[in-house]
Amino acid sequence: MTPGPRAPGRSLLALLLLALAPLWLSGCWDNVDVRDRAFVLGLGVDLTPEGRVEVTAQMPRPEPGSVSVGTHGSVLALSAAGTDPISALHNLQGRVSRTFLLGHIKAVVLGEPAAREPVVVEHVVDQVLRHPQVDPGAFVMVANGCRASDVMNRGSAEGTASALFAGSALEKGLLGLNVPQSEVWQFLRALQTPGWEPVAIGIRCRPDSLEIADAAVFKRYRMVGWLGPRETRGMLWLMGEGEGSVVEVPSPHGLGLVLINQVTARFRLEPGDPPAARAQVSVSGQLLHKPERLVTITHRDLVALNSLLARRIQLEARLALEKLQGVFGADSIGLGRRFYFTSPYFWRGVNWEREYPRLRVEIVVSAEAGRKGSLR
Amino acid sequence: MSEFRPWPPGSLTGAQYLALTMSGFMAMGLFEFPADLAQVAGRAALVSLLISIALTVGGAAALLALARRFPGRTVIEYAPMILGRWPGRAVIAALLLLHLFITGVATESFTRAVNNVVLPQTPAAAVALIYLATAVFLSWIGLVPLGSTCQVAFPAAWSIMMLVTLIAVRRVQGLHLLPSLVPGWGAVAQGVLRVYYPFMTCKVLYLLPGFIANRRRLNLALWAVGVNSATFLAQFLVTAGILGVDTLHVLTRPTAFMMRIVRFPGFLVEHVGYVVAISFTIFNCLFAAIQIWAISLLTAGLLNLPRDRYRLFIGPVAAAAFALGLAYEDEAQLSIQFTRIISPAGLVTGVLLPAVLYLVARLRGFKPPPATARQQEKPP
Repeated sequence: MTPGPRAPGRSLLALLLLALAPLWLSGCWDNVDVRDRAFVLGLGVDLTPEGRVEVTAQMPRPEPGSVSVGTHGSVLALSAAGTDPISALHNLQGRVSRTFLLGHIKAVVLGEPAAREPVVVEHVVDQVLRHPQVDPGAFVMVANGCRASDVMNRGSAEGTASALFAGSALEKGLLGLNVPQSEVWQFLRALQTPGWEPVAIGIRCRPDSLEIADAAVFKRYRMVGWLGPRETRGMLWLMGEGEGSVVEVPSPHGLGLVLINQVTARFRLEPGDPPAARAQVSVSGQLLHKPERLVTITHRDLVALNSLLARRIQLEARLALEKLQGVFGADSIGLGRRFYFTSPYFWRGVNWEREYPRLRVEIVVSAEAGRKGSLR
Repeated sequence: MSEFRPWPPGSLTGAQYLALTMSGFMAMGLFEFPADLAQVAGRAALVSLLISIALTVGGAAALLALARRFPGRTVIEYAPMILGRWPGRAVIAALLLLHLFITGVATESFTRAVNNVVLPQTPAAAVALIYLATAVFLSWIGLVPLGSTCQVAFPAAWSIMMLVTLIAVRRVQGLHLLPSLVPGWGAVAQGVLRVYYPFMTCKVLYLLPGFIANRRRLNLALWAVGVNSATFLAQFLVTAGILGVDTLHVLTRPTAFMMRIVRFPGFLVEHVGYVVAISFTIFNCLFAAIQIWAISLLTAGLLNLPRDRYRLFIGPVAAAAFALGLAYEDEAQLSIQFTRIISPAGLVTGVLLPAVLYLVARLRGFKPPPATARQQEKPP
């Protein structure tokens, strides 16, 4: 074979042109100088007493010494009201000299009254996902016991802006947070998938800081209630999550502490009338603190401890399930989704809204806290 | 045939041929097709996709069998030889019009994607102009330099996209990938009929095999079809595995969306969206360049001009694509072009027509030239 004629100059020029094409595309029209941008880090959404939507945008303070309203550290939070979140944000833009850049939003925090209003939640999800700048990976949170604007005006214990604190803590999966992952796209996924309801992360206002805890349970676009810390963790066990949790295990020899490293949850489904499911949760972890009255840990002690740990996890999972099934009727774990995907013909003839509270779930937990560190 | 002037054998190396086939195949609706497929076929989408892949491989195999029977020739020469003068010319004219229509829709699709995702205030005309100007230059430099460009640019852009896809795999939930035939075989058929558009661009195999220097490398195109089909399959599996089929159909560009939610913690850049945007631009520019080259070549063939006179038509073709590309009022209208026009036309020209041409060629006794004759062929 004779190779064809080559034109390396033309090819190089073509490659250069291709490499530059994305730069040229940036053009002149969308160019906004960085000094003219207001980098929005988080959005808070509340309802005003008149029923309007109030949006609070948290952003870094543009210049040292500038006048700001509601400051925390180096950020400021500004609020404006409108008929829906995006119009409220536009109204707010009218009061700020810089152009909002929404690409850095880490968290969207809903006040509890706003979260209980389906129209507002639907607008938030729709407008956040429709906006070309907003990251669909921003976290959806609900302010527990305070307004979303209060969250936007506060920071973490060490002074980080609330949106950045929430974003970085959740992205890095800080140990023992015990909250479900709830990014905007995950919220949408749960809404779109049959047999699955969304959850959001709870954020509590402390006198001088914030605390990420609890889970807000939604039924479609309406928040229906809260899961407390133990129930939230119980829900995580059934979702195959909860790594990094520290579980207290009361034993006859005193209190033991186990750090959970791995969690898996498998389900065996039995479509029928009523339908049933068997959840097999497996956790493994490391002993962090031995029960006080034990001198050294033997194999027998570990077996006994594992049995108690499994019982503890089973109890938490049962608590979560009872509240989700019996009180809220919300399938936040997505058990219906499992029937939908694995038994499509059963799913076609079932009314899950009616069947879910009747679903019998057997929870079996196997725990293995086999590692005990450098001490015997 | 022979009022068409005999054209000299081509001079593409195997690697250039492979790169050109891949580049001409990729990009058509790559970011959109999982949404359309999920909307039309529901949970049977995966079955539709596998059938589309099988059809594409069949169509490509038929085109390669034709290329073996007519070495050094393209559809411009062998269609009139097989079907007769006027039916053959009708085939060329139909392919020309379809290619032109696709280029217009691809221009619009690229412009909308850029406008929607990164540059909302930039006029669509400016984006389309830059896109088409790049493609015009790439097609003007000639097929061999374009092949060399694709040899470097395509693997670079493809690797970036596949790296992101691989990283996204960790978020896939196997449960979401369980296919179901509950939507019925009608939905499966609709999925193939309406969402065949990602595969239809294997039409480049009507032209490219006529330019290869070493005919033993013809089958490399099947590798290209395999790699590209696997890419489409991977994009569907990852987007459906992460988001679920029921979420896919409410999104405009699921693949782009998936790439926005993938994170590289502490590695390269936090969000890979902008890196992928560069790959997307490269794919689209290469694709448009090959389209413009193909349309210009088909026009030259239809007017009975030598191959190298195709450059005469590059400008008018780009202008027509520009005008066509700005003809749509909204994205919904654009989406209809993909599912209602391009896909069925793609099935006809990518699967049915190659099969018909191949069968008629066999019936009329066209056979591959003997090995000795092949050995005597010398590239220019």
